Amino acid sequence: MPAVTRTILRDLGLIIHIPGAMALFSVLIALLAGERFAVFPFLFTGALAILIGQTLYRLFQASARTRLPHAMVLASLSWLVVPLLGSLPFLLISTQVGEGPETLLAFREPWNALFEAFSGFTSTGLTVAVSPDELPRSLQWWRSFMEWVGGIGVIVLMLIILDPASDAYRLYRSEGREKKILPNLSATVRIMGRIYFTYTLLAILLLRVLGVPWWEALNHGMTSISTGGFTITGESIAGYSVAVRLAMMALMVLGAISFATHFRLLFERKWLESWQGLQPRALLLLLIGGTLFLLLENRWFLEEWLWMDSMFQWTSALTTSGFSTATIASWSPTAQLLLTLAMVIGGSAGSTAGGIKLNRITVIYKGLIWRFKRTTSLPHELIRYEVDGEVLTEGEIGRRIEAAGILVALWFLLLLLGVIALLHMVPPGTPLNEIVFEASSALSSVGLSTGITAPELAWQGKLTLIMLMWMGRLEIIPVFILFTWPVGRMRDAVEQRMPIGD
Amino acid sequence: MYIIIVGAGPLGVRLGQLAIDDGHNVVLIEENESRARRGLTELNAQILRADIDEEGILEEAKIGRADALIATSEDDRTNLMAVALAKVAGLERLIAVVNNPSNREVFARLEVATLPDPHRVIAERLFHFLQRPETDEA
Repeated sequence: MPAVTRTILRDLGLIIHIPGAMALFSVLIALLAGERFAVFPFLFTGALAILIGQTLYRLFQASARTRLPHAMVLASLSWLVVPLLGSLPFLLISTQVGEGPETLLAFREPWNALFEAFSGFTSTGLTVAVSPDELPRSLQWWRSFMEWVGGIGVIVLMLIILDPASDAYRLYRSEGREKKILPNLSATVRIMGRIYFTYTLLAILLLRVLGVPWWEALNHGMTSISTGGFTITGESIAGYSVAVRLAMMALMVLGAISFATHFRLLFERKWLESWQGLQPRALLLLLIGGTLFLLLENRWFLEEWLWMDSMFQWTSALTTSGFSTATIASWSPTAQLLLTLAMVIGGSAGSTAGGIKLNRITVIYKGLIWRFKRTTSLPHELIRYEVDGEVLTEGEIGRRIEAAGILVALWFLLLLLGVIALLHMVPPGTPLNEIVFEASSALSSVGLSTGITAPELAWQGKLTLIMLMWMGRLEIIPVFILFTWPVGRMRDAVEQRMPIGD
Repeated sequence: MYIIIVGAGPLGVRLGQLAIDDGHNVVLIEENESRARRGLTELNAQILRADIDEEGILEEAKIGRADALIATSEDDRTNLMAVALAKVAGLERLIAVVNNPSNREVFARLEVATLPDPHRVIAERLFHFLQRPETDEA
């Protein structure tokens, strides 16, 4: 077996411990909730994951250090294998209970269990649970827990806990979180973990103070800060008071702000400066501008000023959370496409949000400005390429624009392919705009739905959405590298390269 | 004022910064590509990358609107060319660095205010510190 493959399998072994530990911890929740039927499923999942993880780790313990293309393949593989394990509690619990509500029994169908697990670990929030309030508490918890862990990234979490000797920065980069907060990586990751944990606790307390019962506050706190979007109520967020909805919006926005900004806000107390960056400014602008557009569109079509719903749905879409206060299927196709645009854009890079992300949107916007400048500039004039107060060389700026442009192109290509595939799998007569909406929701890890995601959807349709969720979460390129891995050329190239540890 | 600065070396860039801080508009002309680019990272000003004798370069720098031209290049030929062309274009306030003191006369004939031998200015200052250490400045 090639040495690179051994390294990847060893690291995969380490990562598989995470769903294992999650499942074992959830035994406690099952016991506390008095759901004895859930104890064995969690124990089994945990034991199996740790067994596989230990086996892989021990077999390939002596392998070489991790390098960037390794890390990309590893990230892609992890997001395949971890949800596979994460689907086990759904399958096992739904088969353990003899009788139960329809929502629970639907998980006896393996595609439904898989779908829910992929949606969870990619912190998407699309769900095949028709009435999540009827699920046993242990499964409600498992759904929220998957999103919470998936939100910060299984890999980053791994680094917080174990701090392996591998070149961690590369792992961290391939997970799409590029902005270093502190020079030292493992310190960075620990700080990220601390911020995440603190925000989650505050989110839970905030919801509780506003009158949400403890159990709901716990679950929704976890799924909002991770911009996940699973709920444990029957009607998502629609049943909550205005204050709770506003609080949820604030939490979603917090989740869509990059950790670097949070760090500056919390530790360096640069309140104003943290908002000066391109990404925070773009986020603010898009939140306000988009809400107004959506409000007007709804006024036009529904002849009502839907202040709260427009604001909430737009925030939910842009932050790629996926909570709902309204039935989006009843909104106009234009409103749906507006929300689709928000979902495609997504939140900040370096946050738990998905989508193309604001760093790329702002780079492309800047590129457009420079493009205009070049056409109007004097024959000998040089253009000043400034991004966030930093003047970059033409080469560097070219690379950034190229990277952003390629990702945007891939994103839309994948979206189109997803839509074409879904067209064959949804019930006949489903409007095209709803299919585009659903595919974007999956690709950008959002979770808003017009109703296409349902237990009755054909398995091919579920598989298509799973693929979109998986590829979108990893920002596509690592998945391509995984696909080219067996061909060998890439693998050989990695073999000959120097380790990346600078 | 609208000021044309020839040369975006350390001197030109600092001069540009002083002028901008004082609220003036500035355009720099620099023939060396990498110097011009480095100038952009330090200075938020318009920089033209061109030789001073390139046809129409002073027009491109809008010499018709300019109030002054300051030549800061380390090459006297460039500075001389710059002030001569500006003079022909009708600009009156001309200032130049003269690196080689023997060239001073030529500039004087063109009615250019000069700072002759800038290195000597620095050298004198350094020597001054040596003589009176108690008045050292950072």
